[in-house]
Amino acid sequence: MSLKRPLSLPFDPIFLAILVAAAFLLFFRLDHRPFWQDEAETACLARNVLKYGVPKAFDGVNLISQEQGREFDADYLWRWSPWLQIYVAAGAFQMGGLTTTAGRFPFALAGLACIWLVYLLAKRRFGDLTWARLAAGLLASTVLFLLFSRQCRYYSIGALLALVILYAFRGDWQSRFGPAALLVGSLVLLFHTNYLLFFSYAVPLLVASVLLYRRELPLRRTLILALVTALLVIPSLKLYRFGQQAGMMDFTLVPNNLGLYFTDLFQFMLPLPVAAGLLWRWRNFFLGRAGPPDEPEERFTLFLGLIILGNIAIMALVPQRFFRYVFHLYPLCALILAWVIRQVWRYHKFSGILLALLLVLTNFLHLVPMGWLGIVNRPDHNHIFMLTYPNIPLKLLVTELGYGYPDTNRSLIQFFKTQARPGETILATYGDLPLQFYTSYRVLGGLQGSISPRESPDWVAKRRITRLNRQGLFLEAEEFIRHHLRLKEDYRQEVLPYPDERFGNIPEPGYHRFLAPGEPFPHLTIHRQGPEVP
Amino acid sequence: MPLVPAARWRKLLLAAGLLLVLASGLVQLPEIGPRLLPERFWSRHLFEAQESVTLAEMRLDRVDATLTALAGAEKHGLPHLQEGRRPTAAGFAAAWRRTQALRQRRWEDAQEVQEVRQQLQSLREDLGKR
Repeated sequence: MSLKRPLSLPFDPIFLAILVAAAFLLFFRLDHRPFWQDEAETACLARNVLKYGVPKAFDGVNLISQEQGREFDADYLWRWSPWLQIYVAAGAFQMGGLTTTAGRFPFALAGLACIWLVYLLAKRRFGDLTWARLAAGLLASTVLFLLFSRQCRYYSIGALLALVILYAFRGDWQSRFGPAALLVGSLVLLFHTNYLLFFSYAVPLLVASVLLYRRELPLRRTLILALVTALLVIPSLKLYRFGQQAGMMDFTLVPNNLGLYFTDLFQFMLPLPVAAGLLWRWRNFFLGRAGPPDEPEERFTLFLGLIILGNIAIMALVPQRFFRYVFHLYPLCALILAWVIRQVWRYHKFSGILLALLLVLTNFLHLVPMGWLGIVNRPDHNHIFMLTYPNIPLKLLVTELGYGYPDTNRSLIQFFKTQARPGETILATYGDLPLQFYTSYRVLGGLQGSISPRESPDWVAKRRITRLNRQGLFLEAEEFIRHHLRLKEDYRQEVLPYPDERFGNIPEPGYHRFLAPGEPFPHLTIHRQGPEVP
Repeated sequence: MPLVPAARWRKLLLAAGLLLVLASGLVQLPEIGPRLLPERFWSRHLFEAQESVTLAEMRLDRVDATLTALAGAEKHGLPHLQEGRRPTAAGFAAAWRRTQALRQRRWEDAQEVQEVRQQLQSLREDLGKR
């Protein structure tokens, strides 16, 4: 029985059901936890865009910085990271007001569009409805994909553009203007989303297409498109001070980064047994003993695998390693896994069903074999109800959304909103940016850089975890508290009944908690200027 | 001719492998493991947590040893190096500050890991009471 179906339906009820379920998981209670530090950076800059027209790091009261002021010059124009996400958030704030839901909405929408586009790519470009449904279903049930897409950050836009590029690439860009313009446009937009994604994606895309689709690459047109892309991208390199950041590369970290990225890939994206199976299947191609597979779907799956490999190889050059830098590869992994499920189903139906169940409902295939091999990588402080342990991820997400979570940033925001007075100054050793976004106070500290010794903050939120700067030294906010404040003498301490967690609503799998921690946990501690009340 | 064809063996192996992953994952689930094999589940996780605590404390000890060595060098002078460049006073001070900062982080890491271990312990007791 062929699994390819005629594409005559006006709409696909199965895909519609997947889309509705995904929309629920993406949009339900988008504001159930406030922005964490990185999201708040985007949100604060977006708010300043509404005020000044451009992303300024200073609004006359508060300074937005997580790199000790390296992100801007004297004019405070943001030049550290690309602006697309900032303008997207600004547009959302313009329409929906300065709220958490408005800030996250366009990014969640991009997440939903990813699921739609994964479906469209497999269905339109390969005419394979089963593959399309499976890939869309897998992506919609991937909790980390949903978590990252529910953030007011570039992540989902990066994933969407990565898919648009693939969609355009498999279109008739060689002879038609539309797909060619779409290809160039989405590459340029990817650059303005995050230039690390652009370089790590565009280069392997080109290499993989030379390896697998050489005959479909007309030299002249390919060169023209590459040139147009370069011309559109190069002027912005100066704006974002690319040269200065390229100087921060540390090649000694590459082997370690490679190991950790691959561990993350196997633990959270493409399970090791699947990757090993694919490697075995395509061994002759990798050893140069055979050409690429003839079947278009399989060739495209190999193409996606090569892009992922190249992407990780390039990203390993960047010293700061975060899972978020490979997040845009999730749709590619969904397409690969869906193809694998279909192949296994064709081979042995029971195994196909089992594999699909394992991948959609659990993270067992990602974690259990890694545990057997003893190469599980998770921070020491991880809890058994996190994605770093075998779990039913969708259950964890629905529990978090349904029952809520005592978010550290929300506890701080609510405390200061009720306790502080207008015009007061707060010094926070971390989480300064959420406070800047949600309250009207002057907020110092965090990773902003030096603090004048003349400052005398009315409030001090000394967070439990001490952050160090790039040189491995205490951040200025910590030094300021140590050397210029007398917390015991001049401040009175209040211990809040809420946990002091490292980040708040961070989506990174090693840090995102779905269930509230039970006691004993570190409590948030605030210092208020003034003598001890007897 | 073999009793069971090779292709069939491969299918059986594939299904068995997947079933093994499923079964192993199920007994490791926090919702099932403590009910099905409570001793095995908790001893494994508490052992892992204890290992992490020990590791975090070892890291802390290592930083402490560095600080002691730096303090000794400051008091008695730096060991004579035949060829190598002698550290400057500023370099020495920077190393001291970096190690102190690292010590603070290591101490906090050890605390955090210890708390997770205690959380697991109290979760175990809670489930035991039910």
